[in-house]
Amino acid sequence: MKIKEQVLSAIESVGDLASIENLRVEYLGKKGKLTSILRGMGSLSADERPRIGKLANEVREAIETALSEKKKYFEEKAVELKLSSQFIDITLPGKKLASGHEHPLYLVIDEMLDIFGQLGFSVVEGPEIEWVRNNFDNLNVPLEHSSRDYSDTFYFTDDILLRTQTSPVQVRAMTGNQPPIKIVSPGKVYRKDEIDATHSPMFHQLEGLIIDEGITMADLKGTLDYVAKLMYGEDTQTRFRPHQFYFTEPSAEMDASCFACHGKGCRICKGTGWIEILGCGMVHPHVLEICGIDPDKYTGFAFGMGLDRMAMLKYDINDLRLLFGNDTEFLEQF
Amino acid sequence: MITSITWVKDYTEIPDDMKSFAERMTITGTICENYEYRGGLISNIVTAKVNSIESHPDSDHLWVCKVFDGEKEYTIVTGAQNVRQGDIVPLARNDSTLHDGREIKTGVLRGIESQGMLCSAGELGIKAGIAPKAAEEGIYILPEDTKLGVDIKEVLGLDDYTTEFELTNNRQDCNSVLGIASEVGAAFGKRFVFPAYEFDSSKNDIDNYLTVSVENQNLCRRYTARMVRIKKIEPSPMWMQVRLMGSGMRPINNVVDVSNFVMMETGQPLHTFDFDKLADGKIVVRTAAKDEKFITLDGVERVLDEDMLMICDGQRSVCVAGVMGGENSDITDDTKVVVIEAANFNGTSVRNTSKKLGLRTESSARFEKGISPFLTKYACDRAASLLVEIGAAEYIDGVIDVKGEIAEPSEVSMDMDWYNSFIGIDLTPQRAAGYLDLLGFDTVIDGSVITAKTPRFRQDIAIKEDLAEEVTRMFGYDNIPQTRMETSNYISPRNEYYSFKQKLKQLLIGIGGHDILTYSFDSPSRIKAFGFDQDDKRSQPEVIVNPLGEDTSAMRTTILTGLLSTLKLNSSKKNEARLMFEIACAFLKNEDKNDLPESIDRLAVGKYDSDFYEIKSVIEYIADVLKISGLDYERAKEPFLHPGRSAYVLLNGNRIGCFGQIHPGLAKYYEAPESVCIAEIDVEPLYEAYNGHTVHMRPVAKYPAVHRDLALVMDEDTPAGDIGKEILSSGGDNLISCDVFDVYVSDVIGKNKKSVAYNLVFRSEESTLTDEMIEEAVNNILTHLKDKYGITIRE
Repeated sequence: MKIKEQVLSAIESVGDLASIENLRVEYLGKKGKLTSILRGMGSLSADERPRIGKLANEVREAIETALSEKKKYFEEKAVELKLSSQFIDITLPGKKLASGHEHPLYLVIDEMLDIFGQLGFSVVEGPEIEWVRNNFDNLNVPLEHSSRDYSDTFYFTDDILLRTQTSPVQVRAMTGNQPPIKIVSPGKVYRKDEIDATHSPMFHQLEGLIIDEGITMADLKGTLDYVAKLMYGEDTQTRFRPHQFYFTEPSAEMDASCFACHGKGCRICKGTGWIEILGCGMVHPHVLEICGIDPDKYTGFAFGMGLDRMAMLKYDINDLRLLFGNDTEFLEQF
Repeated sequence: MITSITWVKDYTEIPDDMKSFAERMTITGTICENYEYRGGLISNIVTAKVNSIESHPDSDHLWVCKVFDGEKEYTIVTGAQNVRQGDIVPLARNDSTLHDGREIKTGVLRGIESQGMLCSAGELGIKAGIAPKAAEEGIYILPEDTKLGVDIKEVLGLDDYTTEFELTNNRQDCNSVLGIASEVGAAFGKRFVFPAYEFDSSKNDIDNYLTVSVENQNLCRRYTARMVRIKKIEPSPMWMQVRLMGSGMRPINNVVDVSNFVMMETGQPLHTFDFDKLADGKIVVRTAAKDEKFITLDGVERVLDEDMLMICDGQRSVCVAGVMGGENSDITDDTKVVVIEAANFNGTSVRNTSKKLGLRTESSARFEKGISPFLTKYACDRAASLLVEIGAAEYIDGVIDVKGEIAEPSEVSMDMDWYNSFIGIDLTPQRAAGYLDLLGFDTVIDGSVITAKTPRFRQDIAIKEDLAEEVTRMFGYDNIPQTRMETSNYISPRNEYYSFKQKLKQLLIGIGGHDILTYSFDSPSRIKAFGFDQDDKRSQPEVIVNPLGEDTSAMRTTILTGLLSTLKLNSSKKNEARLMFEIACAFLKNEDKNDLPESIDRLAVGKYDSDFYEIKSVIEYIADVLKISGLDYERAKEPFLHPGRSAYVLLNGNRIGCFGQIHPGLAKYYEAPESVCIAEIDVEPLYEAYNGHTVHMRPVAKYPAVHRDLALVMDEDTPAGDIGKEILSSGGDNLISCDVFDVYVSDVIGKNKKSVAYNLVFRSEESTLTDEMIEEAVNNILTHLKDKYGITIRE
């Protein structure tokens, strides 16, 4: 018992890690004081042996615990000391990684494709240099329509032009493919507009088309309303206005309640509370027929939207030319 | 279509609240874009008579008038020079407000108190070019019979809205007050009936004066003429002037005003001839002679060609059909007898003529868009009766109406069972027919089928879907329920190629790339600056026949044009150098001239303050992440690249692109720094390699790798990459990679020698490698290199 007290007080007063090891050897080592007591147990009587043995073991355990606690204490203290000498300036910046940036127009395209992807639409692309027949004739555009003029459309030959809309992709998708068809097609389109803050001879549209049995105008509304809600939020309202396009009948334009003012009227929606989002309609039976689809069996709807304007509205971009300028000062904001 | 709302109100009821009116019109399909109150802030301005006028004693340009508003006389000082005693004028009294909000109070002008002011058209808010000329330049002198003390807004019809409707191409019938009135009627639940004009049809005196013959019936489907004997050419009545001004047209005189009024009202352009100037009392509609010269009303001599349709008399041309009349037959103050022409000219012909002459008029614009052939007689009747009604003329009885085949208005049937399943609603035939009736259709219901006869002036109804739109817009698009394609649960297969392009972009953004967007066209000279050989397809861009300008006239054969401009812009702005990239189409001529040009998706990457190896690392990174194996490089021979610092990218032996530092000549041309390095690579082969690759996992090694560095001395021009490949192939199965990590050139090593340091990684799948095994492998490598290339290890 005496040993126990001796040892414990020695441990208590120890000043470093090395002395603890010395104490351990002194008492618990092969030739240690406690070890030799335990060795001497053989000389005890059978009555005493269990009692003394138990006691000796208790003493040993107490010493071991005290030693390891003290050891742990010193180790922790050493780590603390080390850490306290390793403080750095956390206000210095991290190592520079090159950060890339998306183009705002492609951000809008990707968002739209995500939304339409959820609805089971897939992407189809078409050529930017197109047949006149795909861009106009097969879309039911009258021969004498002014959009075909040299003043409106870029031509290479009498039969080949720069597409003025993404709608020829519809024709390509329908020709030689039987329904169901469910596609969206983003891409570049070209019209003969001089470059200024709101016009560009090259801009972007996204076209959508679904053809199947039993597609109704109610489906058109429900689908595009859902799209608007995914784009601008759950509380977005939509408004469908009658309109005219050559390749749809009936046709409509869809407005969404202004995402900035929620319909109260502001600078972005020019006080109307509405923002024009897209043109749409039920695919014209002549177009279906031209493309080899039976209009008595299948119906469908199509829609198209201008993406550049959408990007401008979304990101408050006040000049269309910025989209094509690629100044890093501009790009790095996205 | 811009019109005075008061004018529309002459025919049909319109709610007072313009906002809800505009919304209802928009929602039923006639977009009402704008409506502007014409009265502005005008208050307390009344009509008054100038009792006397004297010059101001202290001024050589001011006048002092005594003006009477029916109750009281006011002294007014005015600077206007067109006021005479007895004139009736707009008087802004003390405490009145002009159109723009300016307040008028009694004031003193050169010692004389002026108790208000007299107003010009501009001060009353009438826009330039619309009011009669004299009223714009001076005080607005009103007709003699104008009552005194009446609110000026009432007299000039300013309590009105100039309203703008946006019409769709198929509804040119609405480019008229009557057309709008019929849509308003339908929108507000009241079928509109077009007014009828009755004439005594028993006499045909006109035949004694005039004959009309149409030689080109394909260009003139119908030609209707009436004649009137003029009493006096004078200003038209105020109510007519007011309606014209409210619709943005300037009143001229009674004959011209009636002609414009009826055009605005019915949509049919009219022309009036001075009968006495028509040789032989004849009107002949035929095409012009080649190079015929003709002076139009605006005094300009025009050169005609044989495709242009003309109105001629017995001897000469008198009018470019549907575009503009001639000086030689114009109405003047002395005109005694007028021929009123209402014809239906071919729209395309009018459009071509108008374009060739560079002369676009209200009339030509209307013909271009297509007008119902039923309108000519209606409009001609209306014009004649109006001229008589306003006291400008007397009838010469009878009408001449030359017409070809004119199809009756269409009759279309629609089965309501089809309709309901097409739109997704449930309307009864009665209700649908009711909507059509409101729009002026005549309908018959037979079971579920509605047969509808199209209103006479409409030309846009041909198939059942057209009728469906009419019914639906009246029912209200807003009232259609919203469903989400419950009958079609089809999911379209993913476009893997498009996803690949998106992935490629994301990879490049991930290493600091900026996604750029540039024009597909460029100037031929900027493409030429690349110096492509003549037999290189890239030297011959597709050229736009009708470009905006030279600088956007060629379709680029390399998408580097846009990238270079982008790099130039950013470097000249001293923006920090960034990796820029674009995925876009380049266009190459097709060998088959009758086919579309080839469109090739390309990836362009570039940066200034860069070097060959930085761009190469981008390519290697893409290949590595996308598991595109089989890439190799060979020295490039491209005229726009630095010959010593450029390479072709080969994929399984095929060239798919090139990269490197740009040639100083190109740098100079594009004003870009010489440190610009670029790459242009075809995307499709990359995709095919990516898509063709499937991962089959190999076991993950349990044993640690062993690294060894080797510094080898070789000739300076020995390709270190090729030696790396030799090392890999001679290092045994356990050598899994060999990468260069340092190149050192110095005379210390030897003249024309360099030291290349390679890091070799060994790993076995079967055991931990021993030093002996590594030694053996390294010795094999060194022996091989020594024997084959004379390469030694650096001491």
